[in-house]
Amino acid sequence: MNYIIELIVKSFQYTFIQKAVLAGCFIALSSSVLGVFLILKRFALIGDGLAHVSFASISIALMLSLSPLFFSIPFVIIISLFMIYLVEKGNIYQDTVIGLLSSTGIACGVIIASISKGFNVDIFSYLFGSILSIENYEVIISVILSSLVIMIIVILYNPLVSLTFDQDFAKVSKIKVSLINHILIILTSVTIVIGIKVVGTMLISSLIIFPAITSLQISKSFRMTILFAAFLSVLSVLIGIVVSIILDLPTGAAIVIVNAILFITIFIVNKVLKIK
Amino acid sequence: MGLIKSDYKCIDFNFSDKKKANIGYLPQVSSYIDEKFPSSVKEIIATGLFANKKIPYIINRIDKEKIDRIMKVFEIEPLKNKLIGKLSGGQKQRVMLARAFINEPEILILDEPVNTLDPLSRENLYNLLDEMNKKKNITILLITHDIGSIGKYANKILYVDRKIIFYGTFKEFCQSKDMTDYFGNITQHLICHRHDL
Repeated sequence: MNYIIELIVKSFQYTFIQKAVLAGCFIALSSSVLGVFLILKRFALIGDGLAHVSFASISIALMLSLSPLFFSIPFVIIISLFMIYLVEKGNIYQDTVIGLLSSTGIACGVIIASISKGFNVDIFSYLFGSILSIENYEVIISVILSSLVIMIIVILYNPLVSLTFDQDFAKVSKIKVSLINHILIILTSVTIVIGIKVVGTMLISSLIIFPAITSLQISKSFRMTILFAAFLSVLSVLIGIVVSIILDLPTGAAIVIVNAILFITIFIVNKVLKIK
Repeated sequence: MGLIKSDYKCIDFNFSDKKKANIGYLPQVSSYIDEKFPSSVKEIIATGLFANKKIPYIINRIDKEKIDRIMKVFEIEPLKNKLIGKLSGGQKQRVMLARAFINEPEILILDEPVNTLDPLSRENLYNLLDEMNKKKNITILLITHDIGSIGKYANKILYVDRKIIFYGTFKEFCQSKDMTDYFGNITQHLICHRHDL
């Protein structure tokens, strides 16, 4: 036990671990808070869809020797708005649209990766995350963008709750429903792209879904759902990083597994104690 | 209300001043209440206040007092911290009404408000609306299939089946030849007899 504590204390003295914790916590906060709204709007899988789209954009950026982060943010935003357009004007169900773009994204990414053999960067790190190798500029961008996302959600919190519960009533209340829905999707796109560094394109949707769905098991108000989801997401990142150091496991996958364990634990606790 | 685009240009409301009508709205309950939605009753009623606010739609102390007051009027105070999805049909409908009423509307539009209610909750709701109409002078436009019991409460009935079939008071409704042709003698008698006309 002493050895483990010593290892954790020692690990947290390394700059790369500190950077991972800082960026990881901020990204976890923004994705979990967004997750609550997306799940209740039955749009939870948009994270998965946009993550697969960002796999294509990362491949394009690597092929063109551009920064994957800077290239992917506007790219994924444009595709996400196209997604909304298809749902609203194309008369296609939203889960179908997510399925379409998700597979197209992966297909494009695979083709581009195979054409441009010899990427300097390991594509594997974008698939499953590489938070321990996060660069300084990536930490700064992640912290700034996550803070921005959280700030916008705080400002739009009340109208977001209103339209998530009852879109028609929100419209009658003169809330700009369409504009706020578009903002929500743009914020999700930004969060997905910066979150790829933490858990990768294959696992990013778990950062959006898990803390929110775990929190929904026991929360007794909307505010509590948001706060508890935020707490759980930060907790899972911290435990995930620590576990991955102790057991020498991939950090992204460890964070997802911690989330899954937290969900199962709270699910069982709620069933036994009937908290909600 | 701006939910769907109308073919007609406008509906006129006859208000003494020229200000925009403050409309309360109660959508069909069954179609939108998510059983898993994590908001408390208090939080849901607060969303009724946003029509007169601007971003960031802050709920201040006066608003909180308004919420407490409206909960008292609708007798839902004990439910204030309960989750909306955990309430019965009648309780949900009261909460939704409180949300529609909190902004003190001049007109209240209700879409099939008694669809999911048992007979007792239905009568309670009609009585509550009757009280609001008479005491607070609120115009109530109620859309319903419940022709059996609405007559006792409605000042005017507009019967529509693809086209307007009847418009008038309940008494006129019972004597209307158009309605006799439409329902048949027995059904019309049953509808009207129940109210001892």
